[in-house]
Parts: sequence; structure tokens; C-alpha cells
Amino acid sequence: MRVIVVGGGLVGSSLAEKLAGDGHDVVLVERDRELIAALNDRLDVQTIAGNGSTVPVLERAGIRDCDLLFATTNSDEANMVVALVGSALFKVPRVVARLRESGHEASFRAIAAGLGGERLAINPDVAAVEKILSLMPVPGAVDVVPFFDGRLMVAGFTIRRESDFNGLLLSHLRLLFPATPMLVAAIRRGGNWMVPHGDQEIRAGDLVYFAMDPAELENVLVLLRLKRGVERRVMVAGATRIGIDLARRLEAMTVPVTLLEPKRDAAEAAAAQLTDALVVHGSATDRALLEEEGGERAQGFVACADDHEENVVACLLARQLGVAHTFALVDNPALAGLIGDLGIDAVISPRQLSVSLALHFARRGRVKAVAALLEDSVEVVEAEAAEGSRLVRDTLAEVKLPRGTLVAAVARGNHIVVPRGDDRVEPGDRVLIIMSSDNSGKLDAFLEERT
Amino acid sequence: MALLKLSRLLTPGRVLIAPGVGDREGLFGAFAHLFEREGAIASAEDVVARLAQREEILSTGIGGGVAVPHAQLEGVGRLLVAASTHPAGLAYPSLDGKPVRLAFCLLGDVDTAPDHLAGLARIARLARRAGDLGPLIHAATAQEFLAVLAHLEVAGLEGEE
Repeated sequence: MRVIVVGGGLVGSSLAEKLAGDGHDVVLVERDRELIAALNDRLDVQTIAGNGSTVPVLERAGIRDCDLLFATTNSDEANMVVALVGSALFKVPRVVARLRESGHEASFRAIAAGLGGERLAINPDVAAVEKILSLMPVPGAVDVVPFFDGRLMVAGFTIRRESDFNGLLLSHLRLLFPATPMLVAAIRRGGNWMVPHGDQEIRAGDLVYFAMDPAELENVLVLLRLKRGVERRVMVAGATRIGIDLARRLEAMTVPVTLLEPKRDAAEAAAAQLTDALVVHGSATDRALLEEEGGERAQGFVACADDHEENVVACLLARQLGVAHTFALVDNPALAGLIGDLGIDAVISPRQLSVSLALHFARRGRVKAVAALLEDSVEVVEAEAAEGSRLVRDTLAEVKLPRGTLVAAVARGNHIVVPRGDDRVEPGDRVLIIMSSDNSGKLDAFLEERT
Repeated sequence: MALLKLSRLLTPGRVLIAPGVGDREGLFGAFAHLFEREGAIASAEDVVARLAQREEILSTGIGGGVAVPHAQLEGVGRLLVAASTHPAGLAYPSLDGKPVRLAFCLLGDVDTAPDHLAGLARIARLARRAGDLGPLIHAATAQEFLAVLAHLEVAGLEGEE
């Protein structure tokens, strides 16, 4: 497949890298020559320096034979132009535009509706709000992702010393949960992650991703020694688009909200858009203010400011004051990687979420859902097993999936089972596959029908 | 939440030292009658059937010579724990194929599920300390068994205390 990615920022470059890794013919267009030079050093992807919203540059990138076009610059307007030029002038069959302003999204949908082909607008801010709202009911989880239409939940937790999981062998999990699917999908210990096997034990400090029946969540929380918080006040720091949207959604759920914003005009504008939320003019890194506003009694603290380093500081301060659960928006993967042990519950990256959504659109077909775990080093993929594919041809032990790749669960009809090496996947089954991100390009060969 | 301690949930009357049972079903019967005699459960037959039912899903012989037969039945009201030692080894299907030398039986209901799970996790971790289990398996009396178990629990399971 020929893919053009316009915009070489965090989203565009990681998207280009992943799709090239999948074996596609990828061209990355970026106007900033310095950035292009840096990308050329780092990525094994063809790059073109130029303004991707102009026809000659798009033609040089091969837009006439393009199957899939991504518009992922930092500007909504530029992305709109790229996507519409690609759709209207060059009839690119599938086009994705990253649009943050909901008005732009609506305009794009309205114009694209008359153009045929498939169009997708990705809004990283909306994706971030959804992610935060999905994490809040699961205290202590670094990430929660549903699979098999919500019948299986992958949730990551850091194991505390006092947890009953501390010292437990993975093979003993089935003693505790004999009748429901329950397994460990991935473990990060120190800086390394591993695809687990039964002889391993869970240790304090490990970040463990469980794949479980959502009905078992309560029991898992008990064993983790985490308690579900009662619905208490949530503090949101930063009247950004994400902050305001989150406050509005929490208001709708009747959760009391305090929104902190250091700029007076932004605070006033936010107050005008919200009804029940308490909007406070002040900085979330001001300890006295946090105390005054009852930070220590808050159930959750979500740092949504545009300055992501400040988000980390604000969360650490909130933790110190005794807020039960803290969440920070952080896009920089290097910064996110440092946060693991600081006690912040979860780091949400709007950019990473955009990449996941765009990748899902690109890979769609046999792949039904994808989640990236552990700063993107592990992927969990839900896919359908096709008749005649390598996956269904033999027992799992004989199929010989790439190293470090595990078929963790199989959904057949209403049942979800954890397969063993001598089990077979049947055509039509849904499978949950856990693998190193490096291997994602090799997966298609196992899923696609072969003649 | 206080840590669940097996040695506090057990009483000397609930520790069977080398009971004369020949197999897994015999052991289930011994545990069930023990609870029935105490009046802690209504029907021993019912308990044996539930323990066997759970065993059908997956053997609770978790390896290392340890078994944890357990079941949920309505109206127990609290977590019931009993233990048995089998120095000569008891025929009991187990994950590593080895005979069972130490068994803990857990009975609870829906309300005791959290303690039940914590208890299973605790025993699963205990089963990994093969080097420490000898004095438990060879305890001559129930009192000695409880003293050794309390010591093991104070010494810390996997050092989490």
C-alpha cells in the first residue's frame, strides 16, 4: 500500500515509522528542513521537504497512486486543506485528518460526505478525555482497554508490596480464577518488559497488565489492595480544550469538579462554558492554593495544561497533598518513561492516542482493535482468524508465531478461553495477540488468507 | 485492610495431623465432617459435592506438595479454614504430578469472596517455599502445626510485611 503522511511531528513520524514497519511504501512530507534532517537520521522512511498542502509537493510525494493519506500537521487548517485536496482533486480512497477543533471536525465531515471514499477525523483531545474517563473508575490503573466488545478488559497496575499478587506465580492465577479468563498479558520490571510464562512470579514494583473478565475487576482490586474511591470531588488543572471538555463530562456525570486555571481570561471563559464546576483562578503548582481548594480531599486530580512538564509537577504536588489518584497529560515519551515510579496513576498522551486511532484505521481488516502498552513497546491486537490463514492451520505451538508473540485469549461464540500450545484457533474466532511492537509488521502474514 | 493470617483463622480442632484418608475424596469427607461436627455447615455431603465440583474445573493440587480444595456455598457467613498434613503423601491429582503432603481447605460464601481470594493467594505463595514446609508437614500435633505456621507468617511471606 502506498501511504503519504503530511506532518513530521510526533504523530506523523511515529505513524510513518509504524506503517513502514508493516511493509508499506511510506512517504513523509514535512516543511521544516531541520526536522526533515533529524527524521532522516532516525527513520527508515522516504521524506520530502515541502508544504504538503500544495499540489506540486503532493504530486512529488506520489499522491496520484496514493492509497492512504494522513494529514497530521499541528495546524487544523493545514490538515483540512491536505485532506480535502487529497480527497477532491486526487480521489485518494482513504484519508485521515487530525483535527482538534470540533467545528473543524464538523466542517470536514460535511464536506467529505459528498466525496466518496473513506474519511476519518481524529480528535486527540476527545480521545484523551475518553481515555481519562475510562481510567477514573479503575483506581490505580495505568491503562484500561476493552477487547472482544467489552467482554475482556486489559488493565495495567503497579504491584504494591502489600498486594496479594506480590510473590504469586503466574501459573497460580488459575487457582484463584479457575472459571473466568484471567491472565497476565505483559510485565514491566525495571526498564524491561516481558511476555510472561507460568514459571514467573509477580513482584512488588512490577507493572502488570492483566487481561480479565470485567466482572472480576472488584476481586482484582481486592488482591491489589486498591479501593474503589467514592464519588468525591475531581480537580482538573488547566482550562485547555481537554480540561474544559473533561469538566463538562464530569458535570454531566454529577461528579463535583474544581477547575484550576492560571490565566484570568481563560478562567473566565471556562466559567462561562460550565454550569456546576467551580472555576478557580490560580496555578495548580501553587501548594497553598491546592490546599485551600481542598486538594487533599479530592478523589482525583487531572493535569491537563498545555505545558506537560508542569502537569507532572502538579500531579506530584497533588500526590503529596494526599489526592488518591492523579492523571497527567504527557506527550513526550521520554518524560512519560520517567514517571513510572513517582506515584502518578496514569499518563495520557493525546498524540499517542492519535497514532493508535490512525494505525487502527490503516490496519483495519482482520485487525479489530489495537492497544499500545508500556510506552509503545508492546501491542495488544484483537483480530479475526481467517479461513485458510496460517493461524488456523495448526496447533498454536506449531504455528510458530514470531518470538515474543502470544495468543493470549480466543473468543469463540460466547466463550473466551485462554489457549494452550496444543489448542487450535478456528476460522472465525477472534484472537487477542500480545507482541513486541517490533513484530507488528509480521502479523499480517499469519492473519491473512493464503492461496 | 489487615493482612489475612491463616494461623489466626485456624484452630487446633481444624488441623488434621496425618488423617487416615486414602485419596482426595476421602480428604474432602474428613474436612466436611469436621465442619459439620462443629455446626459450621449444614450438610457434609453438600460440601464434598461442591469441593469435587470445583476440582473438576481444574485441580487444586497446585504443585510443591500443596493442595487447596475450596468452594463457595451459601450462608457460611465467614471464611472457614481447615488444614491437613500427609507426611507419607496423599494421592491427589496435581499440576506437577507430585503427591500432596499439605492441604488447606477454604469454604466461604459470596460475602467472604475477598478473604477467600486473599487466602488462596497466601497459600499459593506458601506453596512456593518448599524448603520451609518440612516442619509443617511433620508437625506431631495441631498445636505444633499452628506454631510453625504462625512463625512462617511472621517471618513474612515473600517479605511483604
